[in-house]
Amino acid sequence: MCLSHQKSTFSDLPSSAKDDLSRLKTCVSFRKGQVIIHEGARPQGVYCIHRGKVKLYTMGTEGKEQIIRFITNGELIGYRSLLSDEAISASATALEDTFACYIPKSSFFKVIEENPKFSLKLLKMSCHELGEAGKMITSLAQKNVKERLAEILLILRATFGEDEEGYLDISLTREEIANMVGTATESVIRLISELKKEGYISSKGKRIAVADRGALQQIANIFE
Amino acid sequence: MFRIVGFNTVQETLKALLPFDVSNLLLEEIVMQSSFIQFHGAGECLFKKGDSPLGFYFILHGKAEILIPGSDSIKLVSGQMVGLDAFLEEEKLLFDVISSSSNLESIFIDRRCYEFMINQPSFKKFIDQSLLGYVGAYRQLLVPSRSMFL
Repeated sequence: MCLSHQKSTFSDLPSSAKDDLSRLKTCVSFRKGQVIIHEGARPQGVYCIHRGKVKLYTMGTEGKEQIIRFITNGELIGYRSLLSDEAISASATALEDTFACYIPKSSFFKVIEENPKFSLKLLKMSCHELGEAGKMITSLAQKNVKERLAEILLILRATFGEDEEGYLDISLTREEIANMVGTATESVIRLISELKKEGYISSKGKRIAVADRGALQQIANIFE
Repeated sequence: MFRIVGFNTVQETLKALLPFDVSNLLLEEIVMQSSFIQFHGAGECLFKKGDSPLGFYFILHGKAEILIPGSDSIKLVSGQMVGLDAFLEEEKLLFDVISSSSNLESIFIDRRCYEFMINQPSFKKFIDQSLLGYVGAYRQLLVPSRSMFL
């Protein structure tokens, strides 16, 4: 059962609560590139990603995407808007074929009311996202494009890991990377080639591998 | 037992509801660019008064109501669109819109998807007709009796 998935936000719930959720959920599949949810809609439920990778983004005034973050197995989409009773603040699109469970508001709220540990977990998740959003604002405001690109590559590595050949286990177009960095696609192409020449990364087609993590951390001004 | 909804389910439902022939390729693109949204109870909110009109809903299954204070509500069923007028005027939603059936399924169409649709003549005509339908529905609420104009 996907709610028992090790990484699922619901994994720590008692079996009875998970059974209740399973009875009322809807399983939805999305094709690669399909929109899961749009900014401005008011879905009365949350999506829990069972399998797949999803990008979360807002649309700028000129129709340019700003990628906020990525969502993967076990994570939730739409819970903050549901809790705050607001319209969705960012759109979500599947980056690969994705399977998700849609849990209606009434079931989700029942679980929150009856499971204080789960409520605390949601609170922690929400606070963490707030912290990450703060970091992103600082990064966009204070770092140059190369620093931000290095930071994004490290974030992608930490989020999705590497495949058996050592490449980042996510396939993103240069445009999508640019949308995450917050710059033009041409700049990202130039900087990727620069980082490659310097030996900090390697690439094959769309795929990118982090060759020197320490050096990228230095470029990104990240200290562990 | 839980329900399963896939890409084809949405595509087939949409095809059955549209009052004109549409190619599968075109439908696929619309399903890819819109988002499937379901509501599980009467009274759930599709739009709240004051929401920014970033898109509109096309009802696939179930019923919705536009709540107009001090007046009858406007009832909407599958095959109709909700929020299109505010979306086109780029003005905040004037009224609350709620689901009025135990299960409502819809797709949410944002500006990118709308711009793709409006370039297809059959969809453009359909959207124009829907807008005329809105005008008719609002007019009916404003005048006490149709017979006045007959």
